[in-house]
Amino acid sequence: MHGLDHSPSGRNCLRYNASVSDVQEDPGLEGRVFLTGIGAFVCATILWELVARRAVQSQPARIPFEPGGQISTGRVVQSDEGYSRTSFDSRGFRAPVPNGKPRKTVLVLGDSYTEALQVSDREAFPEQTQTRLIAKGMDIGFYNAGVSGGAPPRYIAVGPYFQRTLQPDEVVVQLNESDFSTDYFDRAHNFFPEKTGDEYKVVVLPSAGKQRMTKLPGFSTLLRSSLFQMASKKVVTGKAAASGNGRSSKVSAKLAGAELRRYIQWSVKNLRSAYANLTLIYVPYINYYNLDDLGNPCEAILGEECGRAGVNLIDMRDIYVRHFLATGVCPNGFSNTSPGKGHINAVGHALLAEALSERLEARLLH
Amino acid sequence: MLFTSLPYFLLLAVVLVYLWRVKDVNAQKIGLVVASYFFYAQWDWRFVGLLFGLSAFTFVCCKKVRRGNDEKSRKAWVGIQVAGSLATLGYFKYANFFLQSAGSLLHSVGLRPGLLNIILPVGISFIVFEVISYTVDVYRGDTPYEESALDLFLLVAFFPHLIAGPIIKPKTFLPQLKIPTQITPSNLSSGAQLFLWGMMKKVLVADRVAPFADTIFNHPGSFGALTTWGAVVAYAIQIYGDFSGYTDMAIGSARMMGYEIPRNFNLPYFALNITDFWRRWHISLSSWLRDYLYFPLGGNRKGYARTYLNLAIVMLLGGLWHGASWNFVLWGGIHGSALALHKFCVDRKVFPPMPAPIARYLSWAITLIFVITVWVPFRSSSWDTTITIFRHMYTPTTTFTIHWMSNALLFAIPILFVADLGTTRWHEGRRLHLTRFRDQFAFCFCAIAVLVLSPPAASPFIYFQF
Repeated sequence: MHGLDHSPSGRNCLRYNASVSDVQEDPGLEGRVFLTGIGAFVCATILWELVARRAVQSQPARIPFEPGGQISTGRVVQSDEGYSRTSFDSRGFRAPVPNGKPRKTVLVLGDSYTEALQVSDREAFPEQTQTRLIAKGMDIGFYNAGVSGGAPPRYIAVGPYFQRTLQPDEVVVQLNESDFSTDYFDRAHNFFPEKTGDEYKVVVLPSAGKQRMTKLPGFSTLLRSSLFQMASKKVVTGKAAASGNGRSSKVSAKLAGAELRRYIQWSVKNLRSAYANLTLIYVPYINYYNLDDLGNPCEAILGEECGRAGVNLIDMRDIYVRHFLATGVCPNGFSNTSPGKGHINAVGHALLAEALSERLEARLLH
Repeated sequence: MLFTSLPYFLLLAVVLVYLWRVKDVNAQKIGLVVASYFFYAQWDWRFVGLLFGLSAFTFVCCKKVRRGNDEKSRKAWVGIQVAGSLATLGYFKYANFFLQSAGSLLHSVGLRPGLLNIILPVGISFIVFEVISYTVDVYRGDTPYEESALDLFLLVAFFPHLIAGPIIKPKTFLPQLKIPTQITPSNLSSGAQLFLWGMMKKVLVADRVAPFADTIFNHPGSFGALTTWGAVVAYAIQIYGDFSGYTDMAIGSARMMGYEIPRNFNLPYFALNITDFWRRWHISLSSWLRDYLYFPLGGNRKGYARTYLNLAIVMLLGGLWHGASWNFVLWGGIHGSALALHKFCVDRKVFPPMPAPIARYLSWAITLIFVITVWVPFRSSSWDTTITIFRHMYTPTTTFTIHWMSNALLFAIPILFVADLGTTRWHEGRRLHLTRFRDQFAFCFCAIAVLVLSPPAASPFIYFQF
């Protein structure tokens, strides 16, 4: 028998076991154990890869996006915060994409709040808004073009492309506090604002990711493996935690004072120019443990600038706070995070869809 | 350098290769001491001197104890060593606590003593207990005095148990240093298995429920009764998963190197009474408190009343050992009172007669609810938090709930059962046979599960703060 650990615990016994090791009885054992070990590891890896792809994490492929940068395409499974399985079509729209050709189309731009990988297809607010409006008899289709890390320079730059390819009747742009920080003011992003005097202009960089991939074609399968992606993500998160930055290594640098107002003014003005029928949705950061904390002043400035420019704005703060006070349920937070922290959950999306459908119904019917 | 981190795996691998290649016992010990000091320096290199100093001080004192001509001088040297060690612990851990406590009293007479800028050296409580136990054992003759300082330095600094125990009994560890250790397939296999079970408890159980418990304890006034109860249960699971996971990894690491460290947890939440709980929870600390505090106080040899008092004193000090806070004193005091009460009930045979199975389940349930509830002051950062949590546990004060967070518990509890089963079977000698494909596959499957199912950010071990 090749059992390793039948001896009672005790150091001498363990050593004795080793000294009269099975290897001496069977010279081929060591090699066989090694081979079966490799086989077991490979089988376990394959099994977990299948399980992980299906149920834990699977990243979509990245393809070049005509206006610049890359977009996601293909299936995605996400379970970091909430859990969802979805897909992106070849144009980068999150599923479900409208069937046929609806009479009216709505393009939804935004960041990860709109991309909404933490909730299922039916729970994401663009899909919910579409369902609500169809139930009211409208022939309407929503295109969810939310992209993690999206920001006003991107929404402004992709305007001509979407006007040409989709010709939407209405464009909804979702914004939040991070859109008005300096996180996006550098060449690490494909779309970023560059300041010239008192004005900004959008700089678009060509995609660099594709070149990196083609340089290492042999590794593409490994890079696409869910286990590899999860391991690398954990190494990055672990490094960030070790360096004292918590969950993310990115530290938000906030604009302030006149500069913040100038940037918001510029964003609103250019979004208004890019999309004739525009609705902005602002999803604020809300401190549910201290509702008096109003956070960044960008929310108030955005309200003022939208009023001045005649842009339709939905600020979700009051709606979310009212719901929280009435039900005790936070619109942010998932089972892997904590309430009030992170992306908006199914409740947050439902409230957003309710507010948006009411506003769009009025706009699109007139 | 967390046990669950890549640098630790690299350090362990280097040490294993070193011990495998080097056969000389002294060279092995030197290598282990160097690795242990390197490990400690990763936390804060400034305290390496403290670790060295405490070990050297203990060595010198024990030498005097050993060579003392009369009982009086031997006792004096033990006293010096114990006082010196406790003074070190007191300075680093309790100086600000006592200054703060005194400050609130002195404030009324117009005095305002300031606080000291002291950084708490990681693992100081464990290190101090280790050196005290060695000194007392040498004095009692329970363990032979080591002429070579190397053995003592390794006993104190041995990296698997350095930061958060288990507190090793010198008489069980020092004899293992007399002969060269061997890196064998048997030890590697069994050590890796226990390490894996421990890692599962830490990463898949403790770290999973941590955000749930943290949220409620950080905002104790915000949540309703059910959610607060859920958080208290989650914390009970978290601290068990975290600490027992840590010790399993420590014991597993030591076993891979060929050293035995005794078991530190034995299914404590299955305890049938509070005395049973303390025989199963943090066994090395309970044993230490019994051998070096309870017995010297007289144990149960000085009558009933003195026994109850001794139990209360030991647990009060045990509570204070955990941290410089009145919350820990309260936690220890409640446990001490419960131990005394249980002893009283056993001594006076006051338990009402009832069928054995009912008595068994009832006593288990009462013990579990008691232990879980008493974790509240242990986890709370202040008196106010403790009181608020207790109030919210028993009165429906708000509707704020986080029902979806119960997912974390649903996920963690089954994994805890599996990992605990694995640990228990390991200690019973029933382990995976890593020569067989089936068992190799099970091992690899569990190891990859840690990668796949672990939360994105690992938390430090709770007991590192003690």
